[in-house]
Amino acid sequence: MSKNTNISVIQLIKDGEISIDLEIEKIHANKDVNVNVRKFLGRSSDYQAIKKRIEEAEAEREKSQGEELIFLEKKVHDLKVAEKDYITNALLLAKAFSEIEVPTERLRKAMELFEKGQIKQADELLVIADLLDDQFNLLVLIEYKEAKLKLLENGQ
Amino acid sequence: MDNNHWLTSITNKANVSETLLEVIQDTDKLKVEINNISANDGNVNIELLQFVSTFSVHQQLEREKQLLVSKLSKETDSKTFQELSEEYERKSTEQKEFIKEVLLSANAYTQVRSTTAIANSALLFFSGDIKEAFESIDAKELESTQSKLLESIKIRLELQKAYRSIEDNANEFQIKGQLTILNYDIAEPNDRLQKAIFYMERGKISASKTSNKEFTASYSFKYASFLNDHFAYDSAVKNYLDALEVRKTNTFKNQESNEINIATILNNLGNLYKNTSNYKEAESSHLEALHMRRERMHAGEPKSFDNLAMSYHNLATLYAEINETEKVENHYLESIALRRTLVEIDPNTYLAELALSLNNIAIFYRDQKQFKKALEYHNEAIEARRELCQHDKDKHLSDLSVSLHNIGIVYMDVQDFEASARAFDEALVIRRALASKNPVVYNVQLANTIGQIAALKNKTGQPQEAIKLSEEAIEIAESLAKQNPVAHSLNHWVLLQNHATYLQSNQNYKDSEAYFNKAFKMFSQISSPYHLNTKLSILNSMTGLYLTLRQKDKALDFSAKAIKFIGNHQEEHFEKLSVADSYSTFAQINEGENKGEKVKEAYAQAISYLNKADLSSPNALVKAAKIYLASALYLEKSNFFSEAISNYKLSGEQFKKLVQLGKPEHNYELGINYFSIAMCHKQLGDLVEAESYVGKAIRVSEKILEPDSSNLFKDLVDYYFQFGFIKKKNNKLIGAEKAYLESLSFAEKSGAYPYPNATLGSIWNNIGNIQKLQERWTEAENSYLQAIAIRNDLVKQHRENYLPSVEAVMQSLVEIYFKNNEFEKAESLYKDLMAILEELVPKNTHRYLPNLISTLNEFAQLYLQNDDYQTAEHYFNEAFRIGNNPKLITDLRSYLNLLAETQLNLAKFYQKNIPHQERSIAFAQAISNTLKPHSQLDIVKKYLEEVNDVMEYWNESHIE
Repeated sequence: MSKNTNISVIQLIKDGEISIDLEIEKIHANKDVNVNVRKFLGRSSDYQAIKKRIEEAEAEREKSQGEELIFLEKKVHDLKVAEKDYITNALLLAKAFSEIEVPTERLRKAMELFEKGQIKQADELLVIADLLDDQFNLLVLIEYKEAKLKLLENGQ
Repeated sequence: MDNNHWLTSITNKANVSETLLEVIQDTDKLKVEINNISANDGNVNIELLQFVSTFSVHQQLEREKQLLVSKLSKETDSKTFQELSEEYERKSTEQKEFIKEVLLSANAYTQVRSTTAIANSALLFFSGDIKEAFESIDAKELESTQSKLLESIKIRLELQKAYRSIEDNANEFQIKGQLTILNYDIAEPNDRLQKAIFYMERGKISASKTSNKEFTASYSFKYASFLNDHFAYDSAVKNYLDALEVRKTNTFKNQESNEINIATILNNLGNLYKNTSNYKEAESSHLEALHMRRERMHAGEPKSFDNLAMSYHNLATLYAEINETEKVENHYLESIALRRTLVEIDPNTYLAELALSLNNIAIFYRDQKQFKKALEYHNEAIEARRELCQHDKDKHLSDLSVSLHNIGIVYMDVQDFEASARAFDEALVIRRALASKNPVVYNVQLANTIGQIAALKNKTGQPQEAIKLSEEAIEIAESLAKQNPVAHSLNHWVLLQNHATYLQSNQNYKDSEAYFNKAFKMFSQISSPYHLNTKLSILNSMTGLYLTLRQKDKALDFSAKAIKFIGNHQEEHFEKLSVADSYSTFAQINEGENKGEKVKEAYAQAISYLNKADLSSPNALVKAAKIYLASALYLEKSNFFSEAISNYKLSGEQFKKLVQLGKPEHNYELGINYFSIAMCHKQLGDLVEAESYVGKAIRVSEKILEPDSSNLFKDLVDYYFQFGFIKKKNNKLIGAEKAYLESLSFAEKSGAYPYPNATLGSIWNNIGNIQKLQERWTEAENSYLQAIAIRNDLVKQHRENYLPSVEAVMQSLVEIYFKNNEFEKAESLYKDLMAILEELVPKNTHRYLPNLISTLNEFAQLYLQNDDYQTAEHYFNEAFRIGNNPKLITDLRSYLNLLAETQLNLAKFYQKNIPHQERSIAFAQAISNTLKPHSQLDIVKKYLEEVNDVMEYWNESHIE
């Protein structure tokens, strides 16, 4: 059985080993990000897809001229902006995970998937209908209990 | 109920002293007192005993004990006595137990949290009524209260659980939102954002329902930051404000931490308002954050210094953006002072922030033209950034290049071009290296530095180098603009314009025109109001280019476009000097079109803008001086000499300031200004002022005299020539001659007056004039002969142009011969003169005919003086013959005077020659007849009187 060498990026943030602000600053300055962030990104299929699209567009650009060249230059630029956005948003999400002290079971699972780079699966795990149901039930419960407590404490 | 309040009530109502109550409250102390009572060793707290004695049980026991004591005193039976004694002991013990119980109960009352029932019971108890105290607490009621309390606790526990669950739910919505942003199955980024906002908004509902207001406020803050990161500024402001309200209206366990959070929200709001141009709100938020951070700054907490420094820094950048310049400096300085302190504590963490503030204040000082301070702070920032690079090169190298680039610009401002080149070169090396790794980010900076070096090369007279570098910068900028027009078009546009300017200064007008046209075509794409001045500069440059190319229509077109462009925008956005330049150029172009009023009005506009312009830099002073000069030249040409003098003086003031700024070379232009003022005064007839200003022109020009200043030598020839001329007019003949000789000397030195030369001829002629006035005949003759020789040689080159000048100097010379009776020289010269005049008269009769007549007269006089009557008569008659044709003469009065003079000479001649008496009379009648029709009766009269004298002479003594 192979040993899991993946280090939790969320844990590194919690431990102060990775500063999200600093990493985001690096991304915008096109500097190399932390090695663990790089490893984490390497696990994301969406990120890999963006990288592949950039490589393809760059290769196409090398062969093109005139108007097509202008179009492809813009395409490469836009894709690189999208790449930066992706990394920034992924890091902000990691930071949001790290700030949750006691995650729910659903969030714990989502976190695990996120760490594996399976962001889409993590997203699918948090089914919006469930979240809304939970919210509705909790809001009703809180409203009921607060009203009951109020009645009780007012001596009625 | 508050325990203190209840105890106070006891002391007041139950007559229990505070000292006693203190003993009862203190359990340990009370136990000691109880032991003392039990031991009955006399060491008893009397007040305690007095308190217990108010209880009825105690009183009953005391009474029973007294009764037993009474019985014991009377009892004689030993057995009964024994029994009574034991009874007394039991009562005593019972009483002690009671005292103990009472005191412990009293202590118990003071130890429990009071309710209304407990308070009432306690009051009864401390008043000594145990039964009432007991009965006041109803056990059933207690059971009921207990049940309600248990229910309440249960609900509270359930609610706590629900609150935690709703917080979890809020977290799940937040994470769902942030996951959605990364869900690339939703193709459109905006759709992803809208969905994410929907989820996070749902999460906010959940977060608002928890009793944990720390969670509620934190959620709104995080949500606001998310919205800010995704450019949803209005919603971000709303959520920051929500977080602020929660924090301001609730009590938190850690109030200090809450205040820190409030200040952070206010700081973020301030930045957000600034980024959305809501400057008033931005200032108010930042100021509130600043006050809070100042209030809670602790010497031992570096973070509190850091936060305060950040607030000062943010306010300074805000004030810089809204041009509240007087506040910018102070706020940066406060921020710098705090960051210096922090650097002493922890340089690793705070040096980068200090460097940023130093860089920013340096930029501010440069904008304020305080170049010395700008250099000082840039240098400190560079030093800090070099140190940072030693620890983490990757992180700080780019910042170091920013500082080097910025200081290079300031060195250019102060014209320390070597230092500027060094700084730019170092920045360039860094930026080339950075751009080779990350072109997307660093190509922008690379293009900027290359562009600046091009500007420097152009300024230091290396236009070819400038053009080469500028081409490289344009290539990079063009590529960036293609990728992202919004971000990079402006830079590309500015570089195109600069390149066109370099080509223009390198006289490559064709390419310059092409680049200006490229820049002009991009005009409409650049909409920022901050670049109106660049646009105006393009229009002005294109006008200048077409003027150079002598394409007047195009120049006029672009000049008119510039004026229209100024009119279409608010004045405050423009640099006043550029507007003045536009109006001045417009005026200059229209000067040739004879549009007098338009030109005068345009110059007036130019001057009015100049008066409002910032003229603190050397370049601005040069430009302003040239505009004042152009206006003055126009006014002088239009004969508005007084107004011209005012503008020449203003132009001169700018050049004088440049000289005072350590640029002595501008004495050259200052000299020209003084000379022009002198010429205007000369025109106004104020020869004293004229002389004074020519003197000034000479003095300032001679300050910068170098052995090879050929242009200046040429100017000094003119200055000294006019100096001589004016001095002569002011009757300062010695000074005048000296001036002419200086003029001659500079003419020789300059090498610009190769023989033969008209100027040299004039100088010799004028020197001769002065010598003649001083009756230094020989010197005058020599000077005139020099002039004649030069002019004769010029005649060989261009007869028509120079023949009149030969005639003029010959007239002067012949006068000397005539006066000195040098017959032969005079005769020879007269003959030459007459030959010249006979050639000149047909070409310009009205000018030269009088000269011819007077010359013939003088020639006749010469013969007369030498008793050659026949030749004299011939020339007098010749003068009369040629002159007796008034139609040829435009200035009738002068002509008639001359004619009369001729006749008079002739009459006088006849007077001396008896055989010609009749002729004399005949001529007298003839001249009378000639003059009468022209109503020149005064001359006729004068003449007839003279003739009459002749007649009388004849009648009296010479009648044949």
